[in-house]
Amino acid sequence: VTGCPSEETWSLYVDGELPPEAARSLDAHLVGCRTCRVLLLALREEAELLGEALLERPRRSFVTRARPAPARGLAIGLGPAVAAVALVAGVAGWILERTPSSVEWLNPLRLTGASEMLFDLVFAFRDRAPDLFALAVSVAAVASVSAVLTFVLSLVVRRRVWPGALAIAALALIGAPSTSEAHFGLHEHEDFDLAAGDTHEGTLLVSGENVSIDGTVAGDLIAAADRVAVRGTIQGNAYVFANTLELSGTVEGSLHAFNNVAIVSGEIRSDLYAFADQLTLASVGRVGRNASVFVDKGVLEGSIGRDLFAAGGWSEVRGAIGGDLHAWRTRVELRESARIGGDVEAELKSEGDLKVSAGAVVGGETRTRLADSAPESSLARYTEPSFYVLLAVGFAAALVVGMLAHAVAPGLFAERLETAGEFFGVLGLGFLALVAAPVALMVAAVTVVGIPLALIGAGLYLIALYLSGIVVAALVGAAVLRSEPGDPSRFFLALVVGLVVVIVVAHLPFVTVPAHLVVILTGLGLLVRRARSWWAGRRAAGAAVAA
Amino acid sequence: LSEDPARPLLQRARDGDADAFGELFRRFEPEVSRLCRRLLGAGAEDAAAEVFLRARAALQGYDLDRPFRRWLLAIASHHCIDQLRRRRTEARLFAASELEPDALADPGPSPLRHLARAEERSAVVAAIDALPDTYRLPLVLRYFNELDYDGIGEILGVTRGQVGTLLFRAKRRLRGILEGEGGSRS
Repeated sequence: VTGCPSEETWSLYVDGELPPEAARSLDAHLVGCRTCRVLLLALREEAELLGEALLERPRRSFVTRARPAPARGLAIGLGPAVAAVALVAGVAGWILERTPSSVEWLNPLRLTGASEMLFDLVFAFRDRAPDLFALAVSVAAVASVSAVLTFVLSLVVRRRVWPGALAIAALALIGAPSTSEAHFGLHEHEDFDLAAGDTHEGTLLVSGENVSIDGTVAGDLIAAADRVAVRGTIQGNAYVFANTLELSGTVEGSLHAFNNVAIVSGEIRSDLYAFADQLTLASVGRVGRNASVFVDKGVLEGSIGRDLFAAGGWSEVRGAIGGDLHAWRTRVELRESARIGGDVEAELKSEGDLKVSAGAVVGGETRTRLADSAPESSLARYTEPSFYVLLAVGFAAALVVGMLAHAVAPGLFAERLETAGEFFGVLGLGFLALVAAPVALMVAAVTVVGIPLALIGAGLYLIALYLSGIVVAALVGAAVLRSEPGDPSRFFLALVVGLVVVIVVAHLPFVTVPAHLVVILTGLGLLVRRARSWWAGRRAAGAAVAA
Repeated sequence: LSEDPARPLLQRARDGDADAFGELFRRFEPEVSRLCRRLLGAGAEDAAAEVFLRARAALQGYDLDRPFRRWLLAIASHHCIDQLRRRRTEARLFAASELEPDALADPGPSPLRHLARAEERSAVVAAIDALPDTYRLPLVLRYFNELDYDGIGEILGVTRGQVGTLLFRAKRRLRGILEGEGGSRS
């Protein structure tokens, strides 16, 4: 690749021997270059390995030290966790519904952008602020799960029932851990190694810098780490949240992989669900049943027993697929060596997105259709019951969040709009916040100290986007009921009425996008104005104290 | 800043307590021996003992605030490099051509991956031992002594930039060796 720094330069970077300005320019390069990120990770790993080998430092193993805990504890913890994830998914879905196209990159359904952003952030964290890396991993995990759930919801909405149902069933499995016993261990910055020949009974839940499974896990594996390598056997299902996953061993159940880079050269007896930036199913790799891949770039050389469902950026099939190939809004190439036992069914964004090389064999029929370029403008969705279910879920979530926000910060809802001039002023302020905040966050993220700030800022921005609709709803509701904005006794009623009005207006045919935009801009503007007056009040109070 | 746990021992050893020095020897000898084996290869048997003789002589000038392990490993490295120089007909460790930067066009073998098993790691050590001095020395100083490029350059008598070049080539050689023998594996 031209324009990339040489490997020797990256070696100097890894060793911390570059002058600061050169290192900074490499940092900037890293953000945009996946090839170099992969190289950098590999060089780091190599340096670590050389140190370990020469110093003969044994890699610490925690299996012997981890205390067995009853699985009940895990189950109790998982209940609220699943509930929280469901809530996050609801929230994300609601945001989705009200996101104008200009902020499409926030849309978790566009997995490519989301995963790219997520992993860039995680990568930067690991690099710059290792202490916060554990936090980043958990953020990534929650974000991935919520992205997955919204994705699944959308599949259901679009009547792509089978992968949706499978994914839901798979996620439900997380809530039903094995009844024997679970080991639980959080070892940030440390390595976990289940040695060859060792067997772990029950569910293994582990987090750390590097997780290696050379032995046997007689249960499920749930791992969150920078790098996870499975060379042994997982007798149950595996859920892996990791920057890099290498599976050369065997998973007897299903593999759920949430990774930046996933390399599968082993065997998955049941299903594969991969949410990854890059996925490689090596030629020796095997998936016993179905594979669902949501990836930016996938190379599938190995064999898949039944169906392949592909979504995301681009997938290349070189191996054998026993059943059908379903492609959903992704580019697919069937190379010479590809063998599809069943049909090829593809919903494409444009004509050239499905390429079939000479020599590739498709046993059944090939059916393609172009995706509607603007499904939002069609009226079809109003006839789907699931559309109303989603609206109801969104309404309930907004109501709960609105009541909570009112309980915590009633001041948020005290703003009012009296004149048309004021309204346009607020709109302008909202527009400024909508556009300027992401720019400011990106600028902040480029600097070293700015990364945690940018993360916090991005969180606040998302929260503000979500709250904007609720703030507007509360205002509208108060206007309808002719009550004082923020009046605690009538707040619940005002919010219910306001949400109904806002949701109905924002989902009327043909005005969806402008209505969303006005709601978001007004809400953001009100929040910014509120924050400004709060800040001014604090400063005045501070000045009074000082005087 | 955490204090060196060996500090009281060092203080006593510096004041001439033979038992204390014996304790230091017992504690650090295995690591020094290993470093000497990595740096010297054959003929490293007596090296550790000589290093400790040198260290005892130099202990009067040792600043207790500096980390002892680093200090001791630096003495060991200097000693071993002296030995290597003596073995050679000319005193230069590196030929001029070996120190010139070059533009490597081909991507070369990719970096080594983690090896979890002990036997695989000893294969890495064996491969390092098999490298010529030119590449083995900077690699050992970097990853055993954990020195920065200035420190390595000072011991080997080369510039920082040359250290970078040597290390880069050393890793490529090492990958080549390991890939050659590990091709049938996995």
